[in-house]
Amino acid sequence: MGARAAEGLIWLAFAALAYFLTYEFDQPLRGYALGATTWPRAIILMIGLGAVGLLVSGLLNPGAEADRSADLDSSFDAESEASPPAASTAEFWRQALEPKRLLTFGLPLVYVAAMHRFGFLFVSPVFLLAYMVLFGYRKWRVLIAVNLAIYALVLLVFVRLLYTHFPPGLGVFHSLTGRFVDFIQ
Amino acid sequence: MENFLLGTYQLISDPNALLLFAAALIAGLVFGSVPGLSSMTLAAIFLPFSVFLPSEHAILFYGVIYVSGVYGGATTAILFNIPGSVENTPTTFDGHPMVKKGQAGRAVGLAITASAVGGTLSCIVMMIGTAPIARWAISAISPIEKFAIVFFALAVVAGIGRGSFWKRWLSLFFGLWIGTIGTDPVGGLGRFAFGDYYVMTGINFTVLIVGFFAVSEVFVQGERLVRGTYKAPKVSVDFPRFAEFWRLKIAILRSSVIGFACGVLPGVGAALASFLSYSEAVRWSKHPERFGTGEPEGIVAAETANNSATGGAMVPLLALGLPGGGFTAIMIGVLTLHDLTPGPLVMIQHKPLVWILFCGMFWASIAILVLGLIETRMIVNLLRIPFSILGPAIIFFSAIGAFSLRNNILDVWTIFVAGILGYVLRRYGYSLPAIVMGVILGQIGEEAFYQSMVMMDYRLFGFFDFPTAAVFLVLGVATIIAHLVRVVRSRRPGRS
Repeated sequence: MGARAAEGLIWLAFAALAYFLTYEFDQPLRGYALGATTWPRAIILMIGLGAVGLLVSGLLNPGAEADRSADLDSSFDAESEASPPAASTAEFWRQALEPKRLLTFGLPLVYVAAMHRFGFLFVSPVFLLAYMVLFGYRKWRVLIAVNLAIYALVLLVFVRLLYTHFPPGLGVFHSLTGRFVDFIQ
Repeated sequence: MENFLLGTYQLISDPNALLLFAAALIAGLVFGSVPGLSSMTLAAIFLPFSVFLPSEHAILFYGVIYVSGVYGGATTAILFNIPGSVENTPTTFDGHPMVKKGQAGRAVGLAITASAVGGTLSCIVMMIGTAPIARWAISAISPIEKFAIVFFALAVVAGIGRGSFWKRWLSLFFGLWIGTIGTDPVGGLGRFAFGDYYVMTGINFTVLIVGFFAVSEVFVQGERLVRGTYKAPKVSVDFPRFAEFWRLKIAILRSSVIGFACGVLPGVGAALASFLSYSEAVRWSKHPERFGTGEPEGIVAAETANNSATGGAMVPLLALGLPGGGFTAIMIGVLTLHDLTPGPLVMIQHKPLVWILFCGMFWASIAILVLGLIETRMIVNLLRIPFSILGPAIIFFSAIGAFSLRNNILDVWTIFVAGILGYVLRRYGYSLPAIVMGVILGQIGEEAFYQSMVMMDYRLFGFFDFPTAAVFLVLGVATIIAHLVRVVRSRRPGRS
C-alpha cells in the first residue's frame, strides 16, 4: 500500500474517532432543533469523504506514488527533501530519532513546560541560548550579546512600557517574578 | 471634501494626534515585520492603555496600526515565508519564491507599492461611500447571505495552492473541525474539550497562524541547520521599475475592487479579499503556471486586495457596528471602552472621530509608500542575520505574541503543537492556508448557519429563496466544479 492510501486510512481513523467523540455532547438544544452535533458531524463526514477520496486515488493511481516530490510543500526542496523510501524500518527510525532533530522539535515544548513552572522571564534567556547553540551558532561573545540585547528589549518594551503579563511560574518563582517585574517597572 | 480637509487639519494641528499617528505607523510596521508578532498582538496589548487617550486619538491609533500592520505582515511573508496575519498568506505563494531567486528587494518593493495603492484607493472609496454602502449592506446581508458568502469563500480557498485536490479538501475540513473545538455557539456545550477549562475557550486563529507558519518555518529551517543542509537566502535591494507596475495596472485595479468589496462583507473581510484576488489573478493570467514560482502579479494581487480591504472593513464597523475580522473586533472594543456604541449613530454624532480615522488611514497609506521604500533597505538586511540567531528569536517572540493575546498558557502550547503539526502536514503536501481559513470561516459560518436555519424554519434549500445568497451558493458550486474539471484535465495523458 502506498503513502497516499496510508494517509487516507489515518484520516479515516481520525474521522471515526472524532465522530465517536461527538456523542459526548450529543444533546438537544432549546431553540435549535438540529442539536449540538449537526455542524461538527457534517464536517467530520466531509473529512471521511476526503479520506476515502485520498485512499481510492492512492490505490487507483500508483504512478503518483513514485513522484514523492509532487505532494511536497513549496518551502521544501523537492530534489533533496522529498522523503526517499526508507531502506529499512531501522533506518527510518534512526533518522527520525536523531537527537539533534528531536531537540529541534522538543526543546520548544520543554520551554513551555518550564515557563509554566519557573516563569517566563527566568526561563526565556536559557531557552534562547540553548536553541541558538543547538542550531550551531558558536561565537560565544555574539551569542551572549544578542541574548542580552533581545532580553533587555523585551523587558523595556513589554514589561516596562506595555505592562504585558507573562506566565509568572509557580511557588517561589511566582513571587520572584513579581519582585523582578516590580523592579523593572 | 470639507470633511477630509477638516479631518486632516485635526490631525496635523494637534501635536498629540500627529505624535500618535507617527507612533502607530512605526509600531504597526515594526510589530507587523517581526516574525511571530503581528499588529493583532500590539492591538491586544495596547487595548487597556487606549482608555487613557481621547476617543479620537484612540481610534486614530488603531486605524493607522491596522493599515501599517497589514503591510508589515507582507514583509515577513515574503522574506521568511511567515505571514504576519492570515490576509498576508497568499503573499507567501510568490513572495518567498522570489526571495529564493535572489529578488527580495523587488518582491518587498512590489508589496509596498501595491499596499499603498490598494490602501489609498480604498480610503478614497471609504470616505465617499461609507454611508450608502452601509445602507445597502444593512438590507442585503443577513446571516443567510453571510453563510452563502462563507460557502463561496471556502470553495475559493480549496482551489488555491499546490498538492492534490483531496489533500486541499482534507486541509480545509480539518480547519473547519479545529474551529469546532471549544464551546458550542448555540447551547454553550463543550466540544472536543475533554472538560478542560482552557480548551473550552476554543482555538484562537491568530495563535494558529503563528504556530502553523512562524513556528513550523523555524522547524523546517532548524532541521536543515542541524543536518547541515541549510542554504542562506540571497539578499538584494533592487526595486521594481515603474514599467512593471504599469504592466500590472489591470491586476491592481481588479484587486482593489475585490479587496474593497470583500472588506465590506462582515466577518470574512481581508482574508477572503487576498485569497479571492489571488485566485482571480491566476484565472485571468495568460501564464497561470507561473503562479507559485515567484510571479510578481501574485504579490501585487494579494497585497493590493488585503490593503484595499482595510478601507472596506471600516464600512460595516462604523456604520453597522459589525467587525470584519479580529482586528476590527478590537476596534469595536476601543469604541465601547470610550462609551461609544458602534453603529450608524457614530457616523452622525461623532463626525470628527470618524473623519480623523478616515484621514489617518489615508495618510498612513501614503506614508507607507515613502517609509516602506526606506524600510525595505533595512528590512531586507534581516536576511543577513544568521538563521541560527533569527530562528530562536522568532520562537521567543512567537511565545510572547501568543501569550499576550489572551494571557492563556494554552495559546503558547498551541503554537508549538501547531508548529509540529504544521511541519508534518507541510511535509506531506497539505495546505496550511486552507486549514487556517477553515478555522476562521468555520467559526463565522457555523453561527450564520444556525441563525439561517432558525430564520428559514430549518429548510436547507431555503437559501435559494434569497437572490444574493443563491448567487453566492451557485458561484461556490461552480468554483468546486471548475476545480474538479481542472483535476480531471490535468490527469489526461499529455498534460502536465
